[in-house]
Amino acid sequence: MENSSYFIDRCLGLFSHYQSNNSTYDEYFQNNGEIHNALEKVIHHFDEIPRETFFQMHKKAQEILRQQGVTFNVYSDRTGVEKIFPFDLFPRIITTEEWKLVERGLIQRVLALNAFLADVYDKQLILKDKIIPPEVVVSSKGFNPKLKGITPPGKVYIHISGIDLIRVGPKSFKILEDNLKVPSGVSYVIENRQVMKQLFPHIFNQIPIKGVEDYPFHLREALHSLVDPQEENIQIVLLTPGPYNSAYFEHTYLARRMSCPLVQNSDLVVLDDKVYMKSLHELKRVHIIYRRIDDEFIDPHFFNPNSLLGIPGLVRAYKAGNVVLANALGNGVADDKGVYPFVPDLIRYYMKEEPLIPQVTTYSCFKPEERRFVLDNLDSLVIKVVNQSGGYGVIIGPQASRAQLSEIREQILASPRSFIAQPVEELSSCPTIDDDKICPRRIDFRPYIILGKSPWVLPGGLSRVALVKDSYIVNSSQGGGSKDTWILGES
Amino acid sequence: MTARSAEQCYWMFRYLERAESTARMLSVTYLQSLEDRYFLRKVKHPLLFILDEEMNFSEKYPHQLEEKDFVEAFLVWQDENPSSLFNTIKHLREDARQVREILHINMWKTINDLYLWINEANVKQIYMNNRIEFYRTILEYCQLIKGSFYDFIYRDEYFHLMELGLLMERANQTLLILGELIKNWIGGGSNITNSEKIEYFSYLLGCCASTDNYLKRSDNFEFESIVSFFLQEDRSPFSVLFCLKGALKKIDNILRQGTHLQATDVTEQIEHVINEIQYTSCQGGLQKEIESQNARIIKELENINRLICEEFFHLNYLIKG
Repeated sequence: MENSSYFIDRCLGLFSHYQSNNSTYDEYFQNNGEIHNALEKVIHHFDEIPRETFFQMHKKAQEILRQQGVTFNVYSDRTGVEKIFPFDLFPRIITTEEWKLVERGLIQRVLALNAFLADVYDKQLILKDKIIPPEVVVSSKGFNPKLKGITPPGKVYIHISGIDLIRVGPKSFKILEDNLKVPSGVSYVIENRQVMKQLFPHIFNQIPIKGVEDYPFHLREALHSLVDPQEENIQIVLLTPGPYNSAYFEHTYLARRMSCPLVQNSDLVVLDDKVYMKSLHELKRVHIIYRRIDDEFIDPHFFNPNSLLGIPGLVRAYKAGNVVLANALGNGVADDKGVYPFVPDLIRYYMKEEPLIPQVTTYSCFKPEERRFVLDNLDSLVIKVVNQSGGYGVIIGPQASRAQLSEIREQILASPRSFIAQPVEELSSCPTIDDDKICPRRIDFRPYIILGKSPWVLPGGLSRVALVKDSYIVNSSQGGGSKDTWILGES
Repeated sequence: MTARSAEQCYWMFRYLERAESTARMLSVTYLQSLEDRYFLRKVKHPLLFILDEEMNFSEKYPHQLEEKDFVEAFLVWQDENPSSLFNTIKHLREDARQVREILHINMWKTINDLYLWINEANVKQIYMNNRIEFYRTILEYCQLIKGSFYDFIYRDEYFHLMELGLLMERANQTLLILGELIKNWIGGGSNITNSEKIEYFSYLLGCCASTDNYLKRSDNFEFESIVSFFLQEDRSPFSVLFCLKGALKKIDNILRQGTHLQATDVTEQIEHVINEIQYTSCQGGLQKEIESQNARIIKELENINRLICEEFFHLNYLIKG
């Protein structure tokens, strides 16, 4: 993939040997080797850093993260131990103008998806109006008809969302995926920024970059705003499956920054349809649970009876309106990949607007004509299982073997509703450290949106990078790394 | 706070104190062993007794009692020894990880640094080539963690429980050191020269970082004086009385933060032990009585620990409704 490339000829230092790849959009450099206009000042700051110094700083960054224990666990790793999330020093940079567009588009999308959830768990007008086939909703693993009629406080279902984007050109992004159940990664955003500020204070002094540290406070405020103001001593807790969960670092991080107890299921009990925390002295009423446990495991009386992670009776308390669950139950239907192709229609229906950010063309194997197209073009499409995440269940047609394609064909025929397909969208690439070289590697971007009484978008996000040459898989669980994301402020 | 995290905080600080005191005792013993010392000729491995590993070691390695380096490695590295320095640091870090959201970032970072350091590939080399440096590094880490604790932690139940764990562990360690002294004194240690006595007593005082404090209080090294110092000197942060009085204050602070927690049994038990210590006579000729009292207090401390766990962490208010 890097056989056609060009040298960067305006940079004389760090980037002097960087070979961009003109089959992808390079985040730093244009096709002719020039730096993108809006990024000149920033890139030159990096270019001036002596190469040896920069590589030492890169090592230092990993060491800082290691010392601070910025880790994640990989379930499939036999050792199952904490791993440091690999971090690359070259930030992704988004201009003020681009960000304004992204921000508006994200708010529009999240409000539409929230309205969709409020509708499908109530009057289901969108189904009656045939905007989306009922079977797509009803057959979604994330849809639970038992939740119909339960309205969460403030009608907010999606308190926290992470929407994955890819850049397809200057000022041009596409939505890749919605994460509306238990989106993770924001703690790495904040920690990555701390590392960057430690290593590049001189750049931060020169370039206005929007801050990300206040995310936990915004989240806390948003959640508080949904509780009846008459309530006294409002208690938020963060519910974790425990220290061996892959995202445990993030759970502890957010609990500390939000100044709320980090609890496991054994710390909570439901009495008279109210949730209480087993504190040292007494049972303390809990008003808000920021839960990092999937629906399926959260209440053995309502969902999976074999769950050892849940709190019996929690859904009763939720139904009675005595506890806010963030995110609400049943969100999975809205980030189901089978529903994804219909989201632009949802935006038109609920927001009465055209989508501000387009999404990746998607073929639903559920529809006969689209299924036929997919089966005829398996080797040129990306096939995804609708209820998987983390990069699992993804077959990239052009890279798959004949055996893999044959297997996926059989699976699609057996269960068409379970699959979607997308053309191979070229992700943008960004200079990334690979051993002792600087090479272009593909990246995506996950910004985070908080929805309380009003929406707020974190001015930054997690840029994930595929560290392996030619790879499209950016997920941490499969060897991806992360970068800081700089949203340029007003000069 | 949850009762679960409260318990973890308590044990985390017990492990912290244990790590520091173990490193200190090993360091002091090592330094002493570099010279010809009376008590090391007579008492081969004082730390095996002090760290309560004598039986464990003799059963597993009956033929290695003469090998000083092997014994030391057992106390530092052995996975089969749950109280080894390595395992203690591992438990400290694991407890800290489970209550990480409560700890100040500096505190967590230092605990994590210590854990990462002792797991580094070259650390065993440091241990082999420069024992003093090895122990000093651990001591510095432990002291940094405590510094962060005192500087930053919010003075709520978590703080008081952590300190309670530290005091209980320290009291226990001091009693074990005292037990070592009494055992050897009764075993013929009283028939030694003055120089040998000074050598031995200063070693034991060094094991609990108390040599300077002892000399503020006393001009000589006498058995009665040392025993009284370890047990009754409530200005010394390592004396049993100091630790138990501190523990009582901590319990009081915790109880005042809420209304439904009662800790009657543990409070009574600590007060009883304090009384016993305060009225102990350390006069010469009463070594046997002191020995049996020391053993009794060690047992009572185990009971106090059990009561702390029962009365604080087992949610009795739920049972009582």
